[in-house]
Amino acid sequence: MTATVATATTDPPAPRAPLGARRRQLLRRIRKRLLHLVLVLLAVTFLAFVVVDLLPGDAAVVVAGDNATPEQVQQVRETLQLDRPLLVRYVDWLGGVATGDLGSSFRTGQPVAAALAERIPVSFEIAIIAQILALLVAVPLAVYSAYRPGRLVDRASMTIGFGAAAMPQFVFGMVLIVLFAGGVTSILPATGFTPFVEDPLRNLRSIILPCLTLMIAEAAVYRQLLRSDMISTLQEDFILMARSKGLGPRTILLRHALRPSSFSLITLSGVNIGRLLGGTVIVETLFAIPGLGQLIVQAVFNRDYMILQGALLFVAVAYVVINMLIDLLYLALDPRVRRDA
Amino acid sequence: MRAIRASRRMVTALATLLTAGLLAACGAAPGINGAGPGGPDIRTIHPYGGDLAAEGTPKSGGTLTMGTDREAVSFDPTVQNTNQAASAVYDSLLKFDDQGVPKPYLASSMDTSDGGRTWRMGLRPGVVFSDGTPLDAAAVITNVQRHIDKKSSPGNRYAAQIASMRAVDPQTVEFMLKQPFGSFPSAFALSFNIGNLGTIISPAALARFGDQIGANPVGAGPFVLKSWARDSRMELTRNPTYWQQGMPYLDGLEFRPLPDTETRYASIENGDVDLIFGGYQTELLRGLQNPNLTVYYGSGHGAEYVYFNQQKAPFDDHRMREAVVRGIDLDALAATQFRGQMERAGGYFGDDSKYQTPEAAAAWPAFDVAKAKALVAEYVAAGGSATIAYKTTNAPNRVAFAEFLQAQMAAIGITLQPQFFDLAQYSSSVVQSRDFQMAGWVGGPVDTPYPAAQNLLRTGGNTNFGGYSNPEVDALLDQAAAITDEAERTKLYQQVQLLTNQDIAVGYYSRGYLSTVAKPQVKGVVRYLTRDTFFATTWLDR
Repeated sequence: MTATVATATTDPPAPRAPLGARRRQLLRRIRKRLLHLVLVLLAVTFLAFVVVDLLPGDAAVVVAGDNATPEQVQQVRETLQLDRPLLVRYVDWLGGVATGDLGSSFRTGQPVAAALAERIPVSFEIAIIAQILALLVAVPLAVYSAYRPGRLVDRASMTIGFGAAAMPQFVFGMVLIVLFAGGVTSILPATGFTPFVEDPLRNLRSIILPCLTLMIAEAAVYRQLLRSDMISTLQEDFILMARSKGLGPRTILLRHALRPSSFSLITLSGVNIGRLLGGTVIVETLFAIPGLGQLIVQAVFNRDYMILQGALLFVAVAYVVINMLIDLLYLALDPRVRRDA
Repeated sequence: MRAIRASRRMVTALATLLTAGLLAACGAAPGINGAGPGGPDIRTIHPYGGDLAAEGTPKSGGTLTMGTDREAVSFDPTVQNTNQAASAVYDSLLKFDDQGVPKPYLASSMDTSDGGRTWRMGLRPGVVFSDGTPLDAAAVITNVQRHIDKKSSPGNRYAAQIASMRAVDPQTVEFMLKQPFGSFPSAFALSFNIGNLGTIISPAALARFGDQIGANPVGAGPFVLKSWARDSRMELTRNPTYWQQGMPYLDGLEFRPLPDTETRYASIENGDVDLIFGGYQTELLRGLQNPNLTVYYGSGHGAEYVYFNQQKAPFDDHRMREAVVRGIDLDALAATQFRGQMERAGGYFGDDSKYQTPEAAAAWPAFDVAKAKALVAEYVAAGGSATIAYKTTNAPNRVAFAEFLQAQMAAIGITLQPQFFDLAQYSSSVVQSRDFQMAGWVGGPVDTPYPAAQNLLRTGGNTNFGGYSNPEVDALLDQAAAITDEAERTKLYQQVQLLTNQDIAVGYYSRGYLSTVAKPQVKGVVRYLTRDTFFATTWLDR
């Protein structure tokens, strides 16, 4: 859990590279990441294609329905061009992607791009708000807990945090529904997601419970992580130095200790945002939220390969891009990374 | 020291509080409190909706929100579908009455002059689609033709019976069929969700939207689709040009897919929605127990049953089918799987229906462990194997049922080996491929004998996955579909019930549990026993 990148240094600062060289370094880094992105995407989408194809269960049967005759199923299969070899279908799909055509849902006929355009903002909003809430709760608690380890705030926040985090997400979600959307105490809606553009206030009301459900476990982990990193940072020489200069605890904690302690937190937070963007099936199902998670799970159950491929493509892109951004954030936060690059 | 002890006490107190809060929350959660022995029985109640005359003078206005159990696929009737908003957008040319007889609705008449070979459908003058174009004979022909052209359409089987059709005049369509087909009008009244010919789309919209018509419906129903965010909500507004004077009463409808059963039920209890479609027995039961909710339910025909693969051992042998049916203790089943509340099924047609007879009821094997054991022993003695694979889906209630069945079968000498599959795999690799010995299924409720009984019980029927075949039953079913005389048809279906019970075509045990649960302020509910709800007459008393 402790961060390795965050060991503090008392070395004199290295001379800064000239601006042009730094920009070149940065560009090289981005270029390398983009190449990485393309390779990841090819691997992910091909793997998805193969795996989904190997899954037992026939998309044509799902589309035609249980009441369909074998002839009707065969006709659906031909219409969907599922009778062609796997590789042909993959190359065809890839060609489509290259020209911006992600195809259409087998079941509903809805263009995949349109389906994604509906879902992505929803998942994005919930992922970001849940992350912000988790950080807002975790960071102050972690900082204070590191400052006074073993005291009331530390122990209480750890107990409550892990108690809540140990509870399965759907149970916690249901508890929230009962507490806040149940008969008598109904102050928030359990279902009835409203898009932000339609009615911002109703939107916020409809995502409070899902965001709370999502953030609790993450806040607990973040708090624990940052707390332990902070405790080791607070034992560094430069903190002692700062103390001996007579700086107050607030300044030491927030200005000197927090930044070098936050690398693990940022890394984990980036990974989590990437994961949440891919949707959160349990929360989406529980609160009836039209996010990517439901789209993907339904696509798997219905063997709706086109939707699945498009959604996985987005998830892979989002994951790689976010981690690229985190990588760049290291550059901004830590001079040593900048120098080593 | 004191500080530490104090903080320890604090932590303990907090933990206790949290636990207590959780326990309280769980205790209040819907679904924890099961049906007591004195609880209300599951029963048919307002099966086709409310008593419109007794509910008072309808009030206009308001928007009704309905929670459904799954997202709609499409508004295109040529696509295999589940869409509870479709009837609100389209209405239906004919509609079943509470006796299951198709009656004119959007159409004004449906008659045959030659015993079911030629049918004339009269249309109401002045009915227009919501885009202003007329719903006339040409529109009906265009729509029916789509089912003929598209072989995979669920309506194709009915449309394929049509040799030719023509517009006698703008208000009359004539269908010439390939052979007499007395149940032909049913095709125009069947549920949208199992496929029908009675859903008519504006031909202008068909031309305009092409294969995207499924998301851009234009019909002549009481409501018009305003917006649709998939997996979230669908909004409909009142159709100002609706053909029934003064209707609809509501200003709008909203459909929310709430696939989680707990959430769906919580939504009706706490008032997030006005009406839910209950896909499971738990919702029906809880609805009946809640005095603040109105329940609509009819067990109809059809049932939950197990398929026997009659084309291979051991269920090609009547003794083994009988042994399984006799080996299931329905009281224990009700107690363990249905919270003590199960509407039993002993035949395809419902016990209250005119197709059930005392003779057929008596023909269905009753629970009798001794007899079941003897049958199995006899079969094994003759060289048969009593080890049987039972295939079913991996839904929690199916898994629980499989485990129950396993225990019951063990008591009569059958070793049951359950195997679980996800739904898509189950559909294609198990039932459609007929790759099973015994398999689970939910096939009810069903509104009318045609076409569901044909699908299940006729040789080659499209849900006859067990390969049951009796030429006598085939002939009865064909005749029942062909003739127009309702009394005669009833006798034929009674015969079907008797013969298929004697044969043990499938292993029935419980009726199906599709229900509508509403707040009492919701009036004027009109529904089929299956999924369809008609919203023109619905109003809100608030």
